[in-house]
Amino acid sequence: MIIKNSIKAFFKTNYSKYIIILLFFNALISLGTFKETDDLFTSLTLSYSNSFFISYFMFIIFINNIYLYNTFFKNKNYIIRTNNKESYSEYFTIINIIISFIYSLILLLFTIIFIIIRIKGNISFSNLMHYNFYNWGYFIYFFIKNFILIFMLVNISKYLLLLFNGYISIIYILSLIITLIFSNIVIEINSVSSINLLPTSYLSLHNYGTFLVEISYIIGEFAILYVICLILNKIFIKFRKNYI
Amino acid sequence: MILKINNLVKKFKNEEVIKSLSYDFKSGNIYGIVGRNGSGKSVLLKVIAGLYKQDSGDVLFDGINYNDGNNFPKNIGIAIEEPAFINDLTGYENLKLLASIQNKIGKDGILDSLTIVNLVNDKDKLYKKYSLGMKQKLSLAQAFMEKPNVLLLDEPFNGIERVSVEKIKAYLKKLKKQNKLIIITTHIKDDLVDLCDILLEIDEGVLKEYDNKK
Repeated sequence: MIIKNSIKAFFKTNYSKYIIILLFFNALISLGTFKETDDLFTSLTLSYSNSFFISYFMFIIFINNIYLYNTFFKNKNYIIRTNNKESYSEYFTIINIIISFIYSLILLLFTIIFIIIRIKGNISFSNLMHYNFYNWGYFIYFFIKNFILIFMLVNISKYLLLLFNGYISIIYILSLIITLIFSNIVIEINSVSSINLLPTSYLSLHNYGTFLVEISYIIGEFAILYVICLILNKIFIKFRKNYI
Repeated sequence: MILKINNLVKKFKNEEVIKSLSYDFKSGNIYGIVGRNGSGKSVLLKVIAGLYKQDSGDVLFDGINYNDGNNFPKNIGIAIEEPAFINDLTGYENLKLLASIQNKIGKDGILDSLTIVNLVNDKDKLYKKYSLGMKQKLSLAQAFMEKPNVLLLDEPFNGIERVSVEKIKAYLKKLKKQNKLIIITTHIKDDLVDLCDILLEIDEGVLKEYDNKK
């Protein structure tokens, strides 16, 4: 009930409308990432692996995180009605996931519209550049993978905000964006030693040899980020002193 | 219900804002705490509410220390410092959102609390269009709406017109008869003399009986 009502309340705010305008500009970046002769799903995959496109979206999710915190979760009326610190943190995460996912769907919609206009409606399917299967299937995987990865990376900033302050959180997110821009080069990953240790490199389009290897690496990255979030959550519950 | 505070210390950057404070608050009473700005009265309420964790000492609700564990204190209503609501929602929508966290009350419960504070006619106005007094009334309505056993009210009558203040005071006296515990802080003693059973004074983080000769 609270999750549904919070999301409804959130989308009534002017702030959520400003974010939609920012998403419109985010989608415009996609226009510079592909050629007019590309088909829809190749164009989408190229857009969603572009470092500026991803960085912009990551920053939107981050500022959304800060707004949610200041409006809902730093709010004393909200806190005292929460049963315990775990529920408080859990509500924050769930509401943030749902709102961020809605934003990612809005971005997808804007991006598809811009791409279709530029490629003049060429919605044919082709094989993916790296693996021998259709690019629409790979894009669906890539979209979901990038959403989860961006959300987990930004979620760490939430804990930095809860445990320290907004400045630490901003430094962290800017570091992510810088590493994303520098690690966004298409590379061939054919051995463990060629793996990039920067978490943002997993947002890029790399050739892992086979799709199974790519999935294994991504699951490994998700597991590491999940464990980091769990540890930060425990630290938050144990050491957070002041809630407002 | 007894709210027992034992040797409570709260520091900010090594400065003690609450200094080894001990007191027993008993339900069925209205306590008034008078103190100048910066005396520690709002901090005391925030520690009791679990919004701040004390550096040492205990805050026990019937023997249970919430501040040390994973839980926030239960069944408590607060109106502390400036009201905190969402600007783009109406007064009613703001209360509905908060009520949905615990799901204890429905529309009638929300409207009842808005009626108590004389705000029911303005319930559909956006919060950002509210005057200071209306914002304060909404803050009190959210504190009252789930009928909590403990009410912590910080400068509750700020900006509210006389008629509504009298109505709210009458409601607080009714709650006292229902064995609720009410703690009110203010820097203006006259706000509380006709309302409180016990008047206390806080100065530099130390709580004591109010000196009536002042």
